[in-house]
Amino acid sequence: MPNQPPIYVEHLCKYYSVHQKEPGLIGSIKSFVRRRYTEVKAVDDVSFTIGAGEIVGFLGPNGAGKTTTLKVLSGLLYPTRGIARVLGFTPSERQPEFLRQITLVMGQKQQLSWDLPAIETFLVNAAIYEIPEAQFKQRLAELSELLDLGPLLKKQVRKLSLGERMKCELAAALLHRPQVLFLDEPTIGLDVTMQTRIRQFVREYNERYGATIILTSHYMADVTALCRRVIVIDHGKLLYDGDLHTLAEKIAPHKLIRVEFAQPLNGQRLEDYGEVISAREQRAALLVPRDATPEVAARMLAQLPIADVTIEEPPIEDVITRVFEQAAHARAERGEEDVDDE
Amino acid sequence: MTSDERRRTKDERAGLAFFGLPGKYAALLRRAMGLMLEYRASIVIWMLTGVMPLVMLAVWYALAESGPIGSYSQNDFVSYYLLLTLVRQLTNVWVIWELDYEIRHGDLSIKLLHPINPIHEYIASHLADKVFRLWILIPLAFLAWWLFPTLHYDFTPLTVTLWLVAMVVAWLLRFLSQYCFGILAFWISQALTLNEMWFAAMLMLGGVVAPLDLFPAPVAAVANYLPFRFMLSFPVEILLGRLSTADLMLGSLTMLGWLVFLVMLYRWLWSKGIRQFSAFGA
Repeated sequence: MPNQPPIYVEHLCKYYSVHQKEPGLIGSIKSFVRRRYTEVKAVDDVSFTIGAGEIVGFLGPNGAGKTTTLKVLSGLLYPTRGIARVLGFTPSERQPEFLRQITLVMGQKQQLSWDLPAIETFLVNAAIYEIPEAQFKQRLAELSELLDLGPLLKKQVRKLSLGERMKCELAAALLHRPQVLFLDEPTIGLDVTMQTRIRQFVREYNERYGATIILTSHYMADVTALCRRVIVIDHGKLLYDGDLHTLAEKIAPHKLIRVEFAQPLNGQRLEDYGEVISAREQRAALLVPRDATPEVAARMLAQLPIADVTIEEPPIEDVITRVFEQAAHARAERGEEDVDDE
Repeated sequence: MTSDERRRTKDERAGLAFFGLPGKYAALLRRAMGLMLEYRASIVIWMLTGVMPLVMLAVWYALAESGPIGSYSQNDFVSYYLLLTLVRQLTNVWVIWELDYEIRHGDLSIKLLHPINPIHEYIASHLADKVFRLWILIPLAFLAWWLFPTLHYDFTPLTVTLWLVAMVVAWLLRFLSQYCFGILAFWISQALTLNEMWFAAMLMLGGVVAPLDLFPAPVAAVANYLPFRFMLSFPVEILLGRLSTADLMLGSLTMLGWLVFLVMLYRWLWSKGIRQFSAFGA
């Protein structure tokens, strides 16, 4: 089905009936007599389309519905309502032809056999995915080069460090060269160097093979480095779908001016120039409306004893936090109960 | 048509597709053998835990000192229980622990992402274990043969062939019944306990506590048709030579009937279980 977008989601809903129990002994007895269920809307009327070769970031706090959406798209869960289509397949049917073209990498779960070298699991996957030997050798060589696997393959998996293990897990998940990748927190727990390495790898994989990738992460650095487009999900609802920087400009129409003073201020008030975020000894940071930034900066340089100045975008984390705060505010105004769901 | 309606997935339709998988089994077996080598010390220890038949042998041997019990003399008991020990060792199954764990901890998700039914990996690891056990059991069998010259078995082409078939089916019956209990873990948290009860029934009615023909007639009559007999006792009965040809045929048919039943039960439970898993995930 060449003309269909690889990932198509329409009015997707995934609801769970969760048994509610009050704490304590009375609660246990009550729940024994009459079980109460509340409906948790893990994913609530989400729609989006992702085109071939896109890398899209899913952003959202814990329990927002990101992982649930990925599980629906990879076929582990079936939708309560709505449509999910990946590469033209209905994921929950879990047809082998479908499974052979996708992969889901979950940071905390692993598929490598713990007591054996990674290569042993690779060989099994080669058989399961019916990869001919020559292709297997070639892909292994490519993945080894991209991920710098080298001697890791022959060591027992339990003897590898977390970062090394993650690289091998990624390789195992990509041996069959899937066209669609679902990466759920792929850099969680890794050190900075390894995170960069994984990001570079994902970008290379996307460039080389044109794979369509959905990435969820708590680390904004992952998203900023890889994704031009983000989908923000909170409490199961889609809050924003579009360009990351446009989002920043919409939500946080400010820029951050950091200054370092050559000498202490002589009665000048920083508040005259903008919203003071921090002011310590010789340094300060101010929030200034975007449009006014060049003018304010010029004024500050003229009127204050400035040794160094930088003008930055506000941290993306702050932007996203603000998006969630706005959404929470909107929910409160609508009178919705704030259920702590997972 | 909403997504929740009955759309049967490939799992729900099949669930056991042995044919067309030789290449995949080769790879799975190769890895399973590697793992078994890692665990070889543990396997020896696990083998030592399967000695209840020898305990029962000691009991019956002592009881039969003053004379045969039923149609079993002391020598008959030795012949019976040594063979039963071998059968027990070669048909052992542990899949329920792995399946229960993986379902309740969500590790099954990883397996479900692969385009192959998870059951095959479990079967491969059990097969590798058997290969290793044979290495130990064959020399031990010869040793026992040498130590107990009065052992008496009925080796004919028919009985040996039938024995081999019955051994394979015995293992399949044990594996599939444990697997079915394991699938219950999709719904309940006490699947292991249910399996323990099943195992106790197998010890009683599978010929470990006593040879089945020593049971009172009404009990023995029922026990002859229950699945437990075909998990342990029937292979022993074949080689002991006490069954008439008619009995052998009847037993074989009953055995195959239970196999067909368990295969169907597995397929039905698995399709239901996957549906349940896909509703709630892990």
